[in-house]
Amino acid sequence: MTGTKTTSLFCALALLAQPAFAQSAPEISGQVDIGARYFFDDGLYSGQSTSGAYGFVGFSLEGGFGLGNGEVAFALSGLAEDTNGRSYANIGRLYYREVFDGWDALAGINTENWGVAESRSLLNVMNPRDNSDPIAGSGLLGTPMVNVNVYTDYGTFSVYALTGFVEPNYGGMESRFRSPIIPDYDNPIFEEGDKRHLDYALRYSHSFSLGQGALDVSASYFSGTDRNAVCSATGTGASSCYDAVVTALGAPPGAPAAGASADEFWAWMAANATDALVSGASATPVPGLRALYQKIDQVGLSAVYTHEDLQLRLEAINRQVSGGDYFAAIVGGDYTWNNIAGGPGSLSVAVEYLYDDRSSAQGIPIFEDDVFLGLQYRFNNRLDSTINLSMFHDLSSSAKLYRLGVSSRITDRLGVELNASSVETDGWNDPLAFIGKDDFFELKLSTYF
Amino acid sequence: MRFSGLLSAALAALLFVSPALAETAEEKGYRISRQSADTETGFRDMSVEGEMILYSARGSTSTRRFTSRTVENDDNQGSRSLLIFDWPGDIRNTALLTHSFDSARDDQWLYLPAVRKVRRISSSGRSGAFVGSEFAYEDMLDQNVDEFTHVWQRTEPCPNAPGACDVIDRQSKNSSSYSLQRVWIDQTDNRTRVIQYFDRRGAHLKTLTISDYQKYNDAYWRPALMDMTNHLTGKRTELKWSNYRFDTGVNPTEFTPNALRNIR
Repeated sequence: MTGTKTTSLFCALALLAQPAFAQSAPEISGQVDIGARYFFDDGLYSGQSTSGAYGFVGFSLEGGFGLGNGEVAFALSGLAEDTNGRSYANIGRLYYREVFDGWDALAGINTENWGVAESRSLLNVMNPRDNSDPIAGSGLLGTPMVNVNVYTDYGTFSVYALTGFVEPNYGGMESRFRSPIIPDYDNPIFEEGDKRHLDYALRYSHSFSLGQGALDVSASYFSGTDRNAVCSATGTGASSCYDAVVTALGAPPGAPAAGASADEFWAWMAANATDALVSGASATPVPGLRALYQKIDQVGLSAVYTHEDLQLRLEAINRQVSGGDYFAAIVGGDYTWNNIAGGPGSLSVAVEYLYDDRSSAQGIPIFEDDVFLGLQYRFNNRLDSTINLSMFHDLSSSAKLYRLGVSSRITDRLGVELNASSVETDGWNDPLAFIGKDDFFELKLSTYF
Repeated sequence: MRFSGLLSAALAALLFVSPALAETAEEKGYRISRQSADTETGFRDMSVEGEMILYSARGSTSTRRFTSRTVENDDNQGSRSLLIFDWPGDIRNTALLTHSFDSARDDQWLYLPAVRKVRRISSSGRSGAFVGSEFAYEDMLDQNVDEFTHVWQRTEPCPNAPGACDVIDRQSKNSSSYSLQRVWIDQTDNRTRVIQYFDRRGAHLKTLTISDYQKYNDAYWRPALMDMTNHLTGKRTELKWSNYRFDTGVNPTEFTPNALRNIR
């Protein structure tokens, strides 16, 4: 895989070296971020930082140039910080693309976000994620692909051959926003035996007029290796990380046995768990607990109905996996009020319901019965100032996750951003309690060139 | 003989004059606006670079840069257009795709490069300020003749050109932040010279002055400079157009929500 990547990169560079091919001067633009994140509490798990402020530097660089009848585009990004395991480097884009009559084709590394929901997305299965910073992080990471899109009057048909597997970024023991028990990500097991397996995806998308409004729909299908690992205690099938611990070390006195449902597990946790207990469990090595990348088949659907200032949205997936099929959906929408108080500002209110019926063997279901509420105020001023406030509320456990984002330009080439997040749980009764000590706020300055 | 000659002359005069007599101020307004619009269409596809200088009331400035591409639909019913922002850096590569139709509401999608997401947006936000400038989104869209009612008012010397101008009041049939737009169209070449915008209370809000027209491809006249002054705030935005290119064979498939993801 690394060999293939290097070879194709070398070929691309060899082409670049021939000035006759380059039709336009390369354009390069970029951004440098500098900031600090302040954690209110000491991390609960071994390896995590104490409370306090931690500096970071980020960058992104992108550009492209004409080549032959097509173009080469690239986008690189990264973050460096030395304490909380968020550092990463990502090639989001490095491809050659050519447009033909009614279709286009692309080969190289690319990132595609198929999501339509505001709270999060269920549909993205092609690109791995940056899991080291799920709250304010970069989201999707680039993956190699060959993609052909055919544009017709009946919609767009897309085919993706995913020619390589890029592991997600999990951070490490020092990362915040992690569960107490993490499998060995460095020695993963692949259900299909080999991460060089060729995966593929199909997608159809179309827009219609419907009544007084407009409807955008998409249907997608993915077959291949999941871009996210689950725990495996046995080295073959998926198991919840808890089951893996119980299998390896035995259940604590009175605790549910392996195979217990998530409800049984959280009922026991709520009654018995303490910070010291969870912290202690986290510090105990679990022999044989490995990361498993399963083979999955996923069907995804999305629909967006827009009528004037109202938008209704749906994302739904059905995933077939040997460790237990499941269904997940997000339904909701938003409404926008323009010209607030006669001024230029606009306010959008988004409400979404999140459902997920996966078993705990398929990763901890965090947003399995939750309501999302999001408020966005855009000042629509010269500085493009925006305030975002959002909340996830778990209907069964009452756990809440709050997020705040404020951004504004200072000058044309300097921007400022403030992000914060906070978790509120009724003790140890919800997976969000695992990140209960990771409340933070951060201040970030970005300069553009 | 003389009598019948006179009669036929009178009849001829009547016949000659009657179409003009029959034309109402609405019809005349529509006809002139249509003629003016027709001098701008038929280009198949166009791309142009825009640079805005935003002047605050105190004189400080701020810059916006973008590329605009338009392709006319094959059936000559409406067009598809793309606005790709280049500066300031925080909105770079953000792209707005508009499918506009002669007789239906526009479809709009926004590509957000930071999250690589294509988002359907409601065209009702079009009264909002375009990138913080004195131009509203609705000022930047294709001014489709059929989306307005037109009433011819009078003829007078053009405010910013040597010839005579027809003055036409137009009102949007769709939602708009303006109660009225007053348009000066040059009789010599059908070009739009000045537009005054009146807000919902009827106050004179803004004036757009269009100048430095040049002819491209021996067929299409386009301005190089637009100047929008807001009379209520004293702010002003200068919009300079450059690098006009017509009929370059732009592929219409580039103007779809899916292709928006890889637009550069």
